[in-house]
Amino acid sequence: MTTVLSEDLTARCARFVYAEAELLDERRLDEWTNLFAEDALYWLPMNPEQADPGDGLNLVLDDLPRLRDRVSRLTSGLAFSEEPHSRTSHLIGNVRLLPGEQAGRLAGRPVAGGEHVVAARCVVGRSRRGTTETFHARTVWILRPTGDDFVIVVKRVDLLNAADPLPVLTFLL
Amino acid sequence: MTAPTVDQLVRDDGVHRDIYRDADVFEREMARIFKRTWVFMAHESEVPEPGDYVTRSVGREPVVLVRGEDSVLRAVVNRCRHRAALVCEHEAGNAKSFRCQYHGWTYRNDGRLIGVPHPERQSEDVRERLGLVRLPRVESYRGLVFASFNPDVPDLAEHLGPAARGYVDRFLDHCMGLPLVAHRQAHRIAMRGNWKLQVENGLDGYHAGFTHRSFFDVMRRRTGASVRYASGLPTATARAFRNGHAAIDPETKSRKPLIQRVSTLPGAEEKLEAVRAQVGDDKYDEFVGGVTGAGINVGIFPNLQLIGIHIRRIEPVSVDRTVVSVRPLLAPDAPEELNWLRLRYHELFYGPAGFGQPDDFEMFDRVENGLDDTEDGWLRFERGNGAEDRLDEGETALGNVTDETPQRGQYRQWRALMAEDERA
Repeated sequence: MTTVLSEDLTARCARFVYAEAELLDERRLDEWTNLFAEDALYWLPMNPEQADPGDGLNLVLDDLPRLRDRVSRLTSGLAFSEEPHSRTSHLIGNVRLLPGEQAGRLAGRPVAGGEHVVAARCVVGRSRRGTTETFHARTVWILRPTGDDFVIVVKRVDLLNAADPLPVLTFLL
Repeated sequence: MTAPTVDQLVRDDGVHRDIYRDADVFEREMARIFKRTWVFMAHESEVPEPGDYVTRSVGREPVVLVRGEDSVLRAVVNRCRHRAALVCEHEAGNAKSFRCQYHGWTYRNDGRLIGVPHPERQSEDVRERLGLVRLPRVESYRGLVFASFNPDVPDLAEHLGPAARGYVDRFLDHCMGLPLVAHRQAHRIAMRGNWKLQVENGLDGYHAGFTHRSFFDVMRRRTGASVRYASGLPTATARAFRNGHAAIDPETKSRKPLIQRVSTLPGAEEKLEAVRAQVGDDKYDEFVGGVTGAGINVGIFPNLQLIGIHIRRIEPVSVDRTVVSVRPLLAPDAPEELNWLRLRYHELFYGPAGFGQPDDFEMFDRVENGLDDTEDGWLRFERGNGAEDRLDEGETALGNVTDETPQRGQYRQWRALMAEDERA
């Protein structure tokens, strides 16, 4: 019985993160931002072992107001590295719910009761001005149930090459 | 067709596209600039203990900067003297010795060859002859470590000169004079473009209000204060010093707008209260204003810039590829929360996903594309040319912050170094 429930939960979480990625790839960025909770974190560390978002140098560490700044800058027409903007394609696989201990280490904050920690492997294609690049990442979400759906409490993206010299990453992962 | 002379490529008020595009010019730069002058390596705090090392490059030469068991800092070429494999594969670490994993030759961390497997088939003096190649000069100024392949390069302090040293001091003292140490992590950007595009841009007081408009717009919306970069303020200056070193100095005295910006950082409210409790009301403004850095940009030709709170190292890779490293500095004696805020402010503007720096790289990309043009072929650094004042007994050329005074100084040094062989 438990297994059945858990399968169902994994499937629901997977559907949610697929839909989230679709909003990014369709560039419906206001709708995307609205998926995040008031206390949310959008986080791209440079070290896959980093447990505390503040303890290290990050590529991105946005609270919700900063995430809204990021999106408004990207859509202002003056964020020149995204002018013209990137086209992206997120492919998400290996979606699974993380058990307590591992979840706590990767989530970047304590996981409250009722929240689910979801991990996946992502391949993100990014095309801009005639060049297509591929990025690989492990992505972790803390999802908080709200009614029939979820809101994102944390979205953590660990790029495979986060510690290497990187190209400009002003598009959203 | 003979290669163009340096004077055909660089004039007093502009440079020809070939210096960004011509692979032969790049080769000459590696030999005549990076092999001849002082090249910035690291901050001493990156290698504090015996055995600590970082792998770096001098031009394209792979180099290990390593502190020996005798605590002396040395720079050795990261290449086995036998068959040329790297002897150190890591970016940083601690080692008593470096072993080439191809045939097992082992070097002590001062570069001496101490182990050769099956030495009976090797000449007896192999250990004396074939230590790692050592760069003849390593010196530091206030923790900034430079190395040179040129044994005859003037002392580092002399090479920097008093005016540039004054600006380096101002930068390094910006956190209430507390000692600064390099963060263990750095943002690194692999840029498309010639290394000199970053050299010019780091001292460019003209671009900020245009390239970085979107950052200032975000800050205005969040703080309610309309603060733009001091472009055009009559008191804001651009300076060129000896040997291609330079600074831009907006000379803004007001800390209030900077404190407002810091207060928009994620979690800032709580951190700022903790800072206030520890440093007191009188020093609060000065401490928090310093979270954003010294407010000046300092350039030490060819590959070091001191901007914001970071050390920027420019690594040429090829004629159109460059790696730029920006490594934040923290003040261990300041409140922990202040250092937390320093990192957050740095992340806001800098790095591959920051709100500012990526737009510079975009401009380099657009320049690279524009360089396809051969009809004009010239890039112009003529703002304020001929209208500069001289200070410090002629040592400093002084212009307005939007003048291309720093770039003219950088290219005077470029031309001087590149022309040496032609004169000989």
